[in-house]
Amino acid sequence: MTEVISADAPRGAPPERDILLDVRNLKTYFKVLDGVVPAVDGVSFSLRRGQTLGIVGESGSGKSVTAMTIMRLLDIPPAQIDPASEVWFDGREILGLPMDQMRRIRGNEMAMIFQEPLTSLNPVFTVGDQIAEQVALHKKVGKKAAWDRAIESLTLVGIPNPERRVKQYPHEMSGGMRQRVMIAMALSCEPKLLIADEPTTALDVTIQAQILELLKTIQQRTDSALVLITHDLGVVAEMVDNVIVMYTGEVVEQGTVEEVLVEPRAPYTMGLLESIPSVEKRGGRLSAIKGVVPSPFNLPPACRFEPRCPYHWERCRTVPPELYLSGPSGRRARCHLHTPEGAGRWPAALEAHRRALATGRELPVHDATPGDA
Amino acid sequence: MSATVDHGLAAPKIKGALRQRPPRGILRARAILYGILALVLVTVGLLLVVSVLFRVKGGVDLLVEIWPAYIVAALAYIAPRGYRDRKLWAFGLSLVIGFVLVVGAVVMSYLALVPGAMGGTAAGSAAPGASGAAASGAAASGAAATGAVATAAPAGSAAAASPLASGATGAATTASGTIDGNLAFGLITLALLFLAFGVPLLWGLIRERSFFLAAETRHPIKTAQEIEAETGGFAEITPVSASGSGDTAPALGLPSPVAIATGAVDPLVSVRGLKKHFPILGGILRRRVGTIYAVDGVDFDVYPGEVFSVVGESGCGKTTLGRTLLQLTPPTDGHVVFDGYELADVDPDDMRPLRRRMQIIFQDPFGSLNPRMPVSDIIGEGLLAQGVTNRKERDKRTGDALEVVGLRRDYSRRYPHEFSGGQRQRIGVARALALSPDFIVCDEPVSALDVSIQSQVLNLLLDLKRDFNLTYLFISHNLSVVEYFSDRIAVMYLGKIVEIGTVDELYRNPRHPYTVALLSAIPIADPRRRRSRLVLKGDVPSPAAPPSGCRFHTRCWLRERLGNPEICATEDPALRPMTGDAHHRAACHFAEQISESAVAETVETQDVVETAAAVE
Amino acid sequence: MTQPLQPPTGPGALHDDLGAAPAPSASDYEVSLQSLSQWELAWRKFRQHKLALIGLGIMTVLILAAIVGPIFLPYAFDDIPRVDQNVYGGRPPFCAVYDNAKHVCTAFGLVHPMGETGGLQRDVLTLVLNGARVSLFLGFTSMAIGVIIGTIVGAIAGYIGGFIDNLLMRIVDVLLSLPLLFVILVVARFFQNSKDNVWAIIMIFGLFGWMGVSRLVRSLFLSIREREFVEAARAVGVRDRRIIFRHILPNALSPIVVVASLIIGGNIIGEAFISFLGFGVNPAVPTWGNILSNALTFILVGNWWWPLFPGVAIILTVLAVNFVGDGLRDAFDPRSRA
Repeated sequence: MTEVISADAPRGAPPERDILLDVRNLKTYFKVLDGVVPAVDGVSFSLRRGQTLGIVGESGSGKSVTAMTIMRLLDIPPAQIDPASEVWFDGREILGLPMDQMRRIRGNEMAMIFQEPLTSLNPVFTVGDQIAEQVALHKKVGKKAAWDRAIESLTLVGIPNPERRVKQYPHEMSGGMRQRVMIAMALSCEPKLLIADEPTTALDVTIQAQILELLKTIQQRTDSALVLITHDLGVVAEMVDNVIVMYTGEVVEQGTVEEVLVEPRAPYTMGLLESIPSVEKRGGRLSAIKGVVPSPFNLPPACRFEPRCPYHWERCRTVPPELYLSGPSGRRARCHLHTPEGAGRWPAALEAHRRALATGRELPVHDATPGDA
Repeated sequence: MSATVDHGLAAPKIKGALRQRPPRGILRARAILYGILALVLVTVGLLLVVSVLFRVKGGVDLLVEIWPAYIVAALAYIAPRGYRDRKLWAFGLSLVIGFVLVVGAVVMSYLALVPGAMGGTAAGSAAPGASGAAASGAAASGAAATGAVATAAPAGSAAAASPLASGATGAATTASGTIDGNLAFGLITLALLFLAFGVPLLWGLIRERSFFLAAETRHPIKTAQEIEAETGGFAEITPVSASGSGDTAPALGLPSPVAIATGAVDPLVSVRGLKKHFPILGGILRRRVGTIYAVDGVDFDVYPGEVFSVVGESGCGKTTLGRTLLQLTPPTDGHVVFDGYELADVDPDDMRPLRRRMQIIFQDPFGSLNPRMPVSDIIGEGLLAQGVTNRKERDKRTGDALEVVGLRRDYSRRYPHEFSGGQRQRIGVARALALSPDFIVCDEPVSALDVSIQSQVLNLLLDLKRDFNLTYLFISHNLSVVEYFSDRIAVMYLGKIVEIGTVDELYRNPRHPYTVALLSAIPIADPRRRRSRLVLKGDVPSPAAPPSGCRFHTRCWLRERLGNPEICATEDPALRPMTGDAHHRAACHFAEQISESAVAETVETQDVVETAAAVE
Repeated sequence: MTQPLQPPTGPGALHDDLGAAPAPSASDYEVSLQSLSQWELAWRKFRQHKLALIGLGIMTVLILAAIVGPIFLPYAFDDIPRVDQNVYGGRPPFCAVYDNAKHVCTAFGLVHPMGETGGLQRDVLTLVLNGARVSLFLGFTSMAIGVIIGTIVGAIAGYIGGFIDNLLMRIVDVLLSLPLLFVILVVARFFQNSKDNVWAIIMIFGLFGWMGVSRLVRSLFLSIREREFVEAARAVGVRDRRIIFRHILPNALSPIVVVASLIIGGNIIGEAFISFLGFGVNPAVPTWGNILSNALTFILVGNWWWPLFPGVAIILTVLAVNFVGDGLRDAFDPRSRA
C-alpha cells in the first residue's frame, strides 16, 4: 500500500505496468448558454490492477463526468476535453484513440454500471440478447457461445434459473434483478476495469446491501479493478481501498479509505463526516457545512470551498490551494492548512473537528465572512 | 370508531363532526347539471353569433323561443350551490329536475314508439314539462326551421354530439305534424340522454337524503368558522431574531410513557385501520383487473410534540400513508382523527382550516415547486387559499416565512429554478410553515439532497419544531437519519406496520426480522467498523399480490433458520406488544427467537451471491 | 397544539448554516446573479435557433405588410385599372410595356413589381397583400378558436377524469374518425353562397380543428395533475378552479403554444385548398387560395407570375410558422436547458 495514487508521473510517458488506469490532469468543460462549466478541472489519479478506488462527491462535483470522460461517452460538443489531459489505460493513451478502437475497448476491457438499471437496458430486447450481442461483438465468438456466455454471467451474479431469465425482457424483472443483469452484462467480457456510477443509489436499502455484497464478492473473484462513484460515504467505507474526494470539479483529498475517512485532512471531507447523523448526536443539532455548493459560473476566485469553510483565512481568498502532501504515502489534501503558512492553524482545526464528530455541536467559526460584520 | 382493540390503542376522542363531502352520486349529478348548463350556453351563444353574423331572420325569435333553456340554466346554476350549504330547497329542486328528466324521457319514448301519439302535441315542445328536452329540442328545431343556420348542427356536435343533431333532423319534420323515422330516432336519442342524466341524479339525491340524516345523528356538526375560532385563528409566524447561542438542545418531544398510559396526553393524530387500495385498470374498457394494497390496515397515534417516523423500502406504502393521512387521496377504509376531528370525506370548505394545520413537505425539491411561479406566489398560494387576500399582508408573511427558514426576504421574486436543491427544500418548508401548522408530514425531506445539505435541512426542521411547537410525521428510508431525528418509529413492509416502538427500543432491541435486516443494511462511514451484513433475499414483492400469511415470510431469514414453519405462510401475525414494554410492538410469530447470536450465525452461513430471488 | 403560535423564543441559530444570509456579501455564491423567469429563459434559447428567428422575421414582415401594405398601395384590390383595354395576358413582374403579340417585355419599370394578372389586369402585389390580410387573419383566428375549445375540453377531461373524461374523449374519437376533409367541404358548401363567409370558414376550421389540441391538453393535464406541486397546492387548500388555471395551465402552456403555431400553418394551407376547389371563401374576397384558384385558367397562357407569388407567400408563411414552432419546441424543452 505504498504510493497508490501518483499524481505526477512524467507527461507523455506510459505509467508502470502495474498501473491499470492513470488519469493525468483531466479537464472536461461544458460550453452552455450561460458560459463555460468546468465540470472536471484537473483531476489526476491512478489505479492499480485488481484494486478499488472510490470517487466521492456531491452532485455537481464532476465525479460522473470524470467517469464518462474516461469511457469517452460524452458528446463533443457541448463537452470539451482539454487537449493536455491524458488517460492511460492498460499502457495506452485512450483520449487520443480513434473512436473505432475506443469502441473495442469499451464494454470489453472496461465496462460501466449505471445508476438506473431500467433506462440503461434496452426494453425491446431480452437480457440474453443484449449480453450475447456484446460478447459476440467483442470476443468474436459464435451465437451459441455468446448465448452460453450470457447464461454463465447471469449465473455469476447469482440470478436463479439463468436459462429461463436469459429469455426475459428487462421489464419482467425487479429493480434488484435488473441491476444484477447490468453487472452481468458488464462482466460478460471479463473487463479489466469496472466503473460503477452510483450503482445502488436508485435501489432500496436491502437491495443495496445485496448489490454491494455481490460487487465485493465478484470483484474479488474476477480480480478486476473497480472505480466506484458514489455520494455515500458509508458505501465507500465498506467497498474501496483508496478514495478521492471531489468538490466543484477538483480533487480535494486523496488517500486510502482508512486515512480519508478516519483522519480527514481537507475541511470539506471533515465537514462531510461531521454532518453524518448518528445516534450519539441525538438531541443536539448536527454540524452542517454552511451555505451551498457555488454555481459553476460564479466560482470563488481562489479556494472553492473557502466561502463554506470554517477554518479559512485571508490566504484562502487569494491563493488557490494545490493538492499538498498532507501525510505519509502519497496522501494529499487541497488545503492551505497543510502548507507551512497554515500549519499553525491545523491543530486547532483538528481539535474542532474531533469535537464536532463526538458531540455533533456547531463548528466554531474562526473569523467572520466579509460583509457579515 | 372501531371498538375492537386488537391494535392495542385506545379509541380516539372526538370533539365534533364536520360536514361531509356529498356522496359521489351527488357530485356526478352536479357535474351533469353543469354539463346541461354548458350545452345550453353553447347553443344559445352559437345561435346568437350565427344570427347576428349572417343576419338570419328570426334569430331573436329563436332566442325567445328557447325559453325553457334559460330555466334549466338557472336551475343548473342554483341547485349545486344549494347542495353545498345543505339546503332543503335545493334538495327538493334537484329532485324535481331529476323527476322531470325521467318523465320527459318516458314521454318522448312513448311519442316516438307509439304511432299516432304525436297527433295532439305541438312541435318543438314535444315533451311537455321536460324542460331540458324543450331546451335543446326547441333550440335545434328552431334553428333548422329557420333554414340557413345548419351551422348549429356541427357547432352543437362539438359540444354534445347527438341531441342537437338528431333534434334538428327530427324537428325538421315535425312542422307537418306527422311522425317519421327521423323524428322517432331523434326522440329516442333524447330520451336515452335524459335517462342517462336523470337516473343518476335521482339516485344521488336519494343517497343525499340518507346523508343528510346520517350527518345529523353522530356529533354536533361544526363549520369551518367554528373550528377556526376554536384553534385561535390563523396566527402569524414571527421571524427569529438573530441572538442567543445554539446551546439549548431541543428536548425529546415525546411525552412521558406515564402520561400516555394514563391518557393525560391526547394524541394529535390517530390512525385506525387505515387502508388505501389503488385499482389497476386494464383493457380497452378500463376495467379493474387488480388491486394495489398500498396501505393495508395501519394503526398508530402521533402525540403532540413528537417526531414519529415511518421507515420502509419503496413500495411499502409509506408515502401513500402520508398522503392518505392528509386526505390528499381519499382512504379506502379506516379513520384518521386529527385533533378530535375525523377526517373522512370532509367537505372541502370545512377541510380548509384543518388543511392549514396539517402540512406536508415533499421529497422532490424540484417537482414540488411550481416552476412557473415566483417564490412569493408559491408560498402565498396557501395564504391566499386560507383567506389572506391582502397582497401586502401576504407578502409580509411570505417574507417572514422565508426568513424563518434562513433565506433572504428579497429572494421572493425569484423563480424556483434559480435555487439549489437545499434552498428549494427550504422554500418547501417555508410554504408549509407560512400557514403556522401544528402537524407536518415530512415525506423524505432530505433524501434528494446532498450530504452536506441534508444536515442543514435536518437542523432547520429541528429548530422549527422547537420554535413553533410542531409535530412531525417523518417518512424516510434512511435509517441513520431516522435514528438521529425521531422519537418513535414504525417500520412498514408491504402496506403494514411490522414493528413500532421508541428509537432506543427499536434500534437496540429489534423484534422483527425485517427490522433486523434493515438495520444491518445501513452502510457505516467508518472503515474500521467494516462488517458482514445480513443480506435479505429477493426484492420487495409487488403490493398488488402480497404474500399470504406474514407478508415478509418469502424473504425472512428467521423463518429459514427455524426450518420454514407453516404458520408464517398461513397466518397473518398480529402487531403484539413485546415483553418489557407495552409500547414496543412487533408483528412476528417468532419475535422471541431473535437474538444477536441468531443474527451472527445467519450472517456466517449466508451466500451473498445467491440472494437474487426470494422463496417463490 | 391548539393554542396560537408564540413568537419563537429560542436562540437564533437558524442562519448559521446559510453563511451570510441577511446582507449580500462578496462571499455570496448561492444564486445566479441575474434573475430570469421561465419565459425569459425560453426566449434566450429561442434566440439561439437561427431558423426560428428567420421564421419569426418572415412572420413579422408578412403581418406588417398585410396590415400596412394595402393602405399605401396605389390600387384597391378590386380595382380594374384599364377597363377599356382588355389585354388578355397580363404583364410580368417589373414590366412597364408588354408586347402581347410577341410575348416580350419591351420596357421595364417599378409599376407592378409582381406583375399584372391576366384578364382583369389587377396588380398581383395588391392582391397578394390583401390576400395576406384575409389568409393570415383566418389562420390565426381559426387557430385561436380551435385552441380555446381544445384547451377547455382537454382541461376538463384531464382534470376531472372518470365519467366526464370518458364522455368527452369518446366525442373526440367520433369527431376524429370522421373523414374531415369531406365534412369540411360539405359544411363549407352551405356557406359558399353567402356574401361574406370568411367567418364561416374560420368557424369551420376552428370547430373541426380542436380535437388534437384537446387530446394533447388532456394528456398534459393528466400528467401535471400528478406532479407534486399540484399536490402541494391542494395540501394548502387551494380550490380546484385556481389549481387548473394558476398551477396546471401555465405549465401546460408551452406545448400548447407549439401546437398552436403549427395549426396556423395547417389552417392557412387548408383554406387555400378549399378555396382552390371553389368551396371556400367567397371568390370576390381575395385570399391566397382564391388568387390561386382564379389564376388556374391563365397558367396555360403563360401567366406564371400570377400563381407564383401567392403560392410563394403560402409556402413562406407555412415554413415560417413551422420554424417558429420548432424553435418554440426547443426553447421550452426542459432537456435542452443548458
